[in-house]
Amino acid sequence: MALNRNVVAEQNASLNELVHTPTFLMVAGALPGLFAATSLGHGAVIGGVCAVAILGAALISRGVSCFTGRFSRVAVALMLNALVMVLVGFGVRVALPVIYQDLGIYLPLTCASGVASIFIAQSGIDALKGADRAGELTFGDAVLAAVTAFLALVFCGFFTGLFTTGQVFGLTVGELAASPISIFGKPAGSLLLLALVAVFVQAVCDARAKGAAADSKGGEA
Amino acid sequence: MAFINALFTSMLDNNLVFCQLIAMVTVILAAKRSQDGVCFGTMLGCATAAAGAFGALVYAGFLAPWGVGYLAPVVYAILGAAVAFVGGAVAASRKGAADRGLALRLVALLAANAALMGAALANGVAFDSATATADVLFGNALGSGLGVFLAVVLFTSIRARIDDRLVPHAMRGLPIALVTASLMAMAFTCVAGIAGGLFV
Repeated sequence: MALNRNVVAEQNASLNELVHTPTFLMVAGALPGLFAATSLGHGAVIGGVCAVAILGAALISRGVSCFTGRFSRVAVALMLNALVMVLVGFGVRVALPVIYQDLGIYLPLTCASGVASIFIAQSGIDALKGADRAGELTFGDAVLAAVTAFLALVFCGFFTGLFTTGQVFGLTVGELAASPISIFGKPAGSLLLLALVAVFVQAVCDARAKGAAADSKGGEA
Repeated sequence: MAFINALFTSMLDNNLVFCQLIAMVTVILAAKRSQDGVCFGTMLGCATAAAGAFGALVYAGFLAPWGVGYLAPVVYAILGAAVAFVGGAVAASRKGAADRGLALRLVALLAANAALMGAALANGVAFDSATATADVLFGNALGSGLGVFLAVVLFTSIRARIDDRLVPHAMRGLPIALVTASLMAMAFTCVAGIAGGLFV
């Protein structure tokens, strides 16, 4: 049975609102590398790679829209971003061979995730409804996404490493590693850490919105 | 037996979404439209399985023998898009022009999904280990597809039962979705090593 049109319209509006927030940009940017962020070093490297993938996808999606059709845009952007990530992978392999081995398939995978998050953030659910609203995402938004994703992965990597191996800046906290808290080294724990970061970003955005609303009310009075 | 073992291991023990956190963004977004969960999960699962199977063939037939395995991500990007668009075009061939356009737009989203590339890359790694047979590679591909389907349908059905009005304001939206995903990931972690091990 078809759903009530109002329910579907409400779902679409909710999705549109969700994908156009800084929290979505941060989460979509950080999720692809979350599994690989198992220590501070790994978090920093995969965070940097994710940031490059997001910025690359933002630049490439603008460039390819000049010479591609509506349907081929994603495929061409994906291919070009994959090429960029292969080159970035070569750089990581030369500079940090051990971390390159540990990151495995997550390094090239960030290209697909970068393109997907930029594509979704640009078009949102409107892409599915027939509207062509590409270009809503500014380059500043992409930079914000890249920086917040990098910071989130460094944070998650640090705490995942701390809870799993007990390593803090070269020192070992044995008690933590031997306790059940080491479950945070699993994907479930990483997702909880990212949820914590998302709550923080969302709270900051809400506070800014409330402050702006209060300022505008004060100005009117 | 190797095929069934690889299938269950990829589907449950190494589930692409909840155990490897690949393509989680799409799953979270799809959960917002609970009525489309099964349809979207089926499309994504089929595309993932097909991309994994074709990826294994391309890697074993061309990339590995030619020594250009480093180009695998670029090839898989084209392969994933081709699989998604051909599948979408076939599925939408009997529909009207408006529905066909809508379906192809959805397919564009599928083409950019990391699960398609993830299944193919995982098969490439398995092939490089030199212990993988054709049974294992195709079991991995099919298991990855089934795992993605399972993840989308389960997450959508659970997310639909969470009333956002009862969630604290700071947790609404993505944070509560991530907490839900975390609990589901914990559930998948509990079966790690059991499902695949049954068929050794």
